[in-house]
Amino acid sequence: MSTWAFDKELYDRIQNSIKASLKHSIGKEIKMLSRIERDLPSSQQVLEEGWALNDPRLTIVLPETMIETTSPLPAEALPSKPTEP
Amino acid sequence: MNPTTPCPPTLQETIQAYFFRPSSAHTLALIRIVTGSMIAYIHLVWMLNLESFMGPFALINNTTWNALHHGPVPDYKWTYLAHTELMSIIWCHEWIACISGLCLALGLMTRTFSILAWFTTLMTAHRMTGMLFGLDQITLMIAMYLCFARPGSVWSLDSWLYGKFQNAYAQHAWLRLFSGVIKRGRDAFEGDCWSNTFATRLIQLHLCVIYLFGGLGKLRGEMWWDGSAMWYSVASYEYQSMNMTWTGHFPILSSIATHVTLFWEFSYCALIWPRWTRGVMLSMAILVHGGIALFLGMITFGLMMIVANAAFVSPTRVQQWVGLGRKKNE
Repeated sequence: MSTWAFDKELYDRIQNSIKASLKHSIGKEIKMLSRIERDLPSSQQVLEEGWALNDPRLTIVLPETMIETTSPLPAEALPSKPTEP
Repeated sequence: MNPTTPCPPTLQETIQAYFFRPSSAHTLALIRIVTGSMIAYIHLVWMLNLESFMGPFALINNTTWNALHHGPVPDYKWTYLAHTELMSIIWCHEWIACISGLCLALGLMTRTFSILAWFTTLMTAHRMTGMLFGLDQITLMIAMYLCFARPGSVWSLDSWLYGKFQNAYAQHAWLRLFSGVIKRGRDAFEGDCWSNTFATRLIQLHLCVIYLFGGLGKLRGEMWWDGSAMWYSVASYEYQSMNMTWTGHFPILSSIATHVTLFWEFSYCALIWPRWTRGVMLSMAILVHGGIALFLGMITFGLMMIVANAAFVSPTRVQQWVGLGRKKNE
């Protein structure tokens, strides 16, 4: 947890630094920065279904918080019960 | 035992010959010209938007940079550019670096400007956390090894000036010091020198390490095992310079290209040394890096990797190819 807190603090520092730089260069305050990742399409998606390489469906906005595991885990992911000797 | 049979060289003699046998500077001169030009180019590109990289309004400002590198887990990265916000100093630094790169390419006061070009580029690179690419790293690596050698002894303004003003070089120690002339006399410049071999070997060994770890890293990726890596390279939108998605119609070809690339990269450190496989490995290097340059939009990186591979071409061969020294010898 302490590692996460430390990394989060660094991450926030980087975000604030980028926001300040952008405010100076474009003259507007940026309230929130989104981290975007472009997924790679399969050959089927491009050649058969006609997706462009920059198709919006391939864009993923990365989460800003810790991934919450509120939904129940599938049964096979749970550790098995200890067997009787 | 036949007394005329020569004794095999000892380990010490082999190492000495490997690292310190004198050689001419033609290969390093070729590498110097491209590396110096690339250093000047890199700094010019950085200068296009310098305020975003350094100074008070940098994307990663000095406070953040120091927190990243000198926090609880320090990485010993240091640069004076992370301790100033004065743009006048930063601009001066960048111009010095750019001019040093140009002088290195031209071979003017080569010894001085090779060290200056390397050091100033290193300082900038250390400041550019999060904004560095393979091109910057490979250029820095080569520039560092050029400092050890005498790459300005041929195909340079230094060698031309030395031919014109030999007396001045003989009289003024500072001229010899700044240009890298160690000895006085006729062979001071164009003579073979151990430092050329030493620097060339270091570039070669470093390149082997880069390829070995690049290959090992690829082995950890599933797409390099199932043969789909080539497809995902051409399907990456950010790296598109030419539409190569048609290769997806030929999955077997794409898979073969993936596996051949992986085999070449992984085995480079072993197969580059025997003479009978060196040509194949260098041809593959040109194909792979030429392909990256042409089809994946990384022209400068591809060029620098090909130039780094030139370290495995003998100075005599480079001299023959370029043809300049040949006429002189004739």
